[in-house]
Amino acid sequence: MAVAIALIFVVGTLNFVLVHLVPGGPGAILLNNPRMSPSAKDAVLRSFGLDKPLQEQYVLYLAGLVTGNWGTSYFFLEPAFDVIASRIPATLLLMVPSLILTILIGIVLGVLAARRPFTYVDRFLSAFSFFFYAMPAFWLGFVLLTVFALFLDVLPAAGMSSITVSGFDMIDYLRHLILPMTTLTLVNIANFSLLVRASLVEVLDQNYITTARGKGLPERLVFYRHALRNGLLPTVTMIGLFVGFILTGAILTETVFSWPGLGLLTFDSILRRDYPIVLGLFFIFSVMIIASNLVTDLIYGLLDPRITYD
Amino acid sequence: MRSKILLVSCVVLLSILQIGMTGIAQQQKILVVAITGEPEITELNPVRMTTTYYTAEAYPGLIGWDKDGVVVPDLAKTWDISPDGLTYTFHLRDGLKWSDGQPLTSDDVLFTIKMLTEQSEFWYYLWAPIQVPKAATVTGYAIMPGAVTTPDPQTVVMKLPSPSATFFINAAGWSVLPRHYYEGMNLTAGNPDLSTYVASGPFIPREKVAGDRLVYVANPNYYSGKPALDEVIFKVYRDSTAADIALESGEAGMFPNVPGQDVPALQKVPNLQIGTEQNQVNIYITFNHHQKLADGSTNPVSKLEVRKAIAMSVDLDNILNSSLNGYYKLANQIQVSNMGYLGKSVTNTSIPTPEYPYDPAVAAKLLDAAGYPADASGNRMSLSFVMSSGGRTGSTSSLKMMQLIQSRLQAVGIKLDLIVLDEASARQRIRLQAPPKDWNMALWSISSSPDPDTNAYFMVSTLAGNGDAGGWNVGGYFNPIVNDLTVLGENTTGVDKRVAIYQRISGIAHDELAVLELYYQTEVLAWNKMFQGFILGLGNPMHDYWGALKAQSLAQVTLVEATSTTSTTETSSMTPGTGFDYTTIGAVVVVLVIVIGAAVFLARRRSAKKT
Repeated sequence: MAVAIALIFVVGTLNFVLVHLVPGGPGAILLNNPRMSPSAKDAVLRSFGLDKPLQEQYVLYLAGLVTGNWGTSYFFLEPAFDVIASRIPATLLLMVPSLILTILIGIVLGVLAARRPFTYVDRFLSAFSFFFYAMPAFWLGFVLLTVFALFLDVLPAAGMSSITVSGFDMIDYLRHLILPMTTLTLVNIANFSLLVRASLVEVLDQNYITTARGKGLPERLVFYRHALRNGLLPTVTMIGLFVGFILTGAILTETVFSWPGLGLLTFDSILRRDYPIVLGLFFIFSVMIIASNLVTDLIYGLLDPRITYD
Repeated sequence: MRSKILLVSCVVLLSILQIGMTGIAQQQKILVVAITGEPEITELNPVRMTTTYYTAEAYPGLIGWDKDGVVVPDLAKTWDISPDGLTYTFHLRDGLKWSDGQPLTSDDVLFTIKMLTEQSEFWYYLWAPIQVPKAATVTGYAIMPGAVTTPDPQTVVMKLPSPSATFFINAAGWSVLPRHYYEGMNLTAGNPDLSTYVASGPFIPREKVAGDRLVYVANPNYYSGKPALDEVIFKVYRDSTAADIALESGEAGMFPNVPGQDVPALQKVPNLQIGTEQNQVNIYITFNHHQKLADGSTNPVSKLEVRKAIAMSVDLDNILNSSLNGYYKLANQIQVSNMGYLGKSVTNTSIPTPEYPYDPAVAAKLLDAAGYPADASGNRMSLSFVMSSGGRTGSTSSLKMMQLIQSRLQAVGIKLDLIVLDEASARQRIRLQAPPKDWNMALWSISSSPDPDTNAYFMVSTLAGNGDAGGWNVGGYFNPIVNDLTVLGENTTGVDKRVAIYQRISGIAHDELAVLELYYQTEVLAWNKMFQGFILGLGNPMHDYWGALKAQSLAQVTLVEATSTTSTTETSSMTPGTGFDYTTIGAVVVVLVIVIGAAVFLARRRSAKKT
C-alpha cells in the first residue's frame, strides 16, 4: 500500500511537472476571443482554478488523483474522469483484439520460421515481418482504406459505428474494426515473430533438446513440448512492454480511421492544453504500463520455476 | 480438418463484410458532412461556446445575411431604427415556433440578451451599449433597466443611452434562445442535454457520439418549412485523406474543407461537384513594430523601408498559387473584400493589388538605404518568423507558402528563421508574450465581422491595451491617428461616413505596412451531386464561416435520385459499402489462394529435395 501511494505520488508529480513545462497554457486556447475583457478572462480562469498558484494546483491535483476527482475538462465542461472513461471502451475494443491477434500471429509466424530455419520459408516470413515493420502505420492505414473502403467499397472509411446504427452492434463494430486492427497488427507482428524465431532457434541449440532428440522423441514433441515453452519466455516480457507501444501506435491508427479512443483524446487534449484530461490520461497510461510490467513479472515467475519472488 | 476451418472462416468473413450493407430500409434523407475536427459539446452551449459553427443551424438571429453579405430578415420580418439612432424596434414574424411547439416570442429575445449579458464571458460584449456594471453576475454586467422591452409578443424594443454604430449588427445578428428551455439551467457549469435540445432553426442537434459524430434532425417547426433533408450528420474524419475517401466512396455526402492539393483528384470523380466560397478570414504577416526585441537586439522590421523591401521581395500571387493550388483571394488591405457594411463596400479602391509590386532590385536598394547592405556572402540580416502548425494558419499549405517566402527573401539576403510551433505555444509566443517580444514577424489571422470596426480595432489599433500582451495587434503597431479614427468610427452612425473612416484607416495601414496582407481565405467544398441546393458564398458572419452549411442553405438542400453519371456505389441513403461486388472479391480471394498455395508447394518441394 505504501509503495502504491509512493508510486502515485512520483508518477503524478512527474506528469504534473512535464505538462506544465510545455509552453502555452490553457489560457492560450481558452482566451482566444479578442473581445474578452480582462475581467471576463479572469472569470474563465477562475472557473477552472487556473488563477490559483501552481503549488496549490499541484496539491489539489495530487489529492484528486487519490479521491478520483480529476477536475473538470476545460473543453468538455464535464468531469475529466467521465470523459476519459467514456473513451476507454473504444480503445479497449481496438487494442485488445489487436494485441491478441498480434501476439498469436507473431508467435505462429515465429514458430513457422524457427521450425525451418534458414530455408525459403524462414526468409520469406522474416522479410514479410520486416516489410510491415518498416512501414509507417498511417501509410499502411491509408493504403488499406483506399483499397477496401474506396476501390472495393466493402468496409467503412472511418469511425467505430455506422450512422444508421445506434447503440452497440457487434457486426457493425467488427466491420469497422477490421481495417484499424489489421493496420495495428501488421506493423507490430515483427516484434513478436522475429523475437520468437530468434529465441526458439537459440533454444533448439541447447543440450536438453539434443538429449530429447537422442532419446528418440518425435521432432514435433521436441519442438512443441520442450523448446516452445522455453522459447516463449522472452515473448512474455515483450507483451508487457508492448502494452505501451500499442497505445502510441493506436494514436496514429485512431487518427487515420477516426477511431474515437484514448489516443485521439490524448492528441487533442495535449494540443488544447486541457490539463485535467491530459494529466488523467498520463496517469492511466503510467498505471497501465506499471501494471502490465508487474503482471509480466508475475507470469514469468509462474512459467519459469527458476524464478521466485519474496 | 484444416481446410474445413479455412472454409468456415472465409464464410464468416464474407458474411461480416456483407451484413450491415444491404437490407437497411433507406427512407431517410441524410447528409453526412465530413469534418476533420471534433465538435465539442460545449459548442452547443450558448453561454460557453467559443465558436458558432454548430449553433448556426439551430438558432437564427433577428437578422441574417445572404451569400453576398447583405443583411436580410431572419426571425424579425422588419425593423425600425429611430432617426436619432437610440431606439431599435424589431417585429418578429408571425407564427414562430420552437421545435417543441412552444411559441417563439419577444420574451425569448429579452431572455437571450439578459442571460448572455449576465453569464457569458465570451459573448456579453454584443450588447455593451445597454449594459451596466453588476458585480453579482458572472460577467460583472447586467442589462440597463428598461433598455429592452417587449410591448407585445411580436415586438422587441431596445433603447440605447447614446448612438452606437456597432449595436445593430451585434444585437440583432446573434442567436435567439428559448427561455422555457434554458431558464434555470446552469450553463456555466454544465452543458444542455441534446436529447431534449430545443431550437428554432432548420435543424436541431439531437445526439453526439463522442469522437465520432454530431447528429442534427430536421425541425418541422422551422419558419421556412420543414427541410427536405431528414438529418444532417457531422461525422469526424480526423484526416483529410480519410474524408476524401469517404466522399468518393459515398460514405460522406459533403466535405467542406478540402485541402487545395486534394482538389485535382476529387475533380476526376464523376459524381462529385466542387465549389468554392470566400469566407471572412484574413491571413497576414504581422511585423513586430518595436525598435528592439526582448533580447535588446535591434529589430530591422521596425523600419518602414525594411518592411517595404520584404513586401517587394516576394511574388505573392505566384507563391500563393503554388502553395494553395489557386484557392485564395489575394489580399491587399485589412478589410476583407467580400465583407461589406450594411450593403456598402468598405474596400479602399486606391490600394493596389498586390499591395507592393514584386521587384527584388528595388527591395535590395531599400535595404541598402535602410542600413542593411549585403556582406560578401550576400547576407544582410536574419529574421525570426513564428507560425502555428494548427488552427487557421496551420496547414501544410501555410508551411509551403512560408518556405517559398523564405527562399525569396534569401535571394535578397534576408535569412528567415521559420519557427513552427503547435497552436497553444504559437499563441503564447505571438500573442500572450509581453512586448517587445522575441520575434520579428509572425503569421496571424483574423475573422472579420459584418462591422468594419472589428478589423480596424483589432488589427491596427492599440486601444484598451490591444497592442499589449494578449492583444490582437500582436506586433504592437501604433499610430495615434489610427486610434483616433477607430474611436471616431465606433461613434459615427451614418453608413457612408463610417465607411469613409474605415477606408482611410485601411489606407494608413497600407502606407505604413502595419501588416503584410497575404490572402483572404477561400474554402473549397466537394459534395455528391445527389445533393442539390447548397448556397455557396459568405456564411452568416456572426456564425463563423460556412456558407454552404449555414442554416438558410441547409434548409433547402434536397436529395435527388441517382443519375447515370453517378457511380454505382451510390444510393439515396448514402450508407457505407452498398456497392459490394462479389465478383471482384471472389477473384481477389482466388488469386491469393493460388499464389499462397503455389509458394507453399514450392517451398515444401525444395525442403523435400534437400532431405
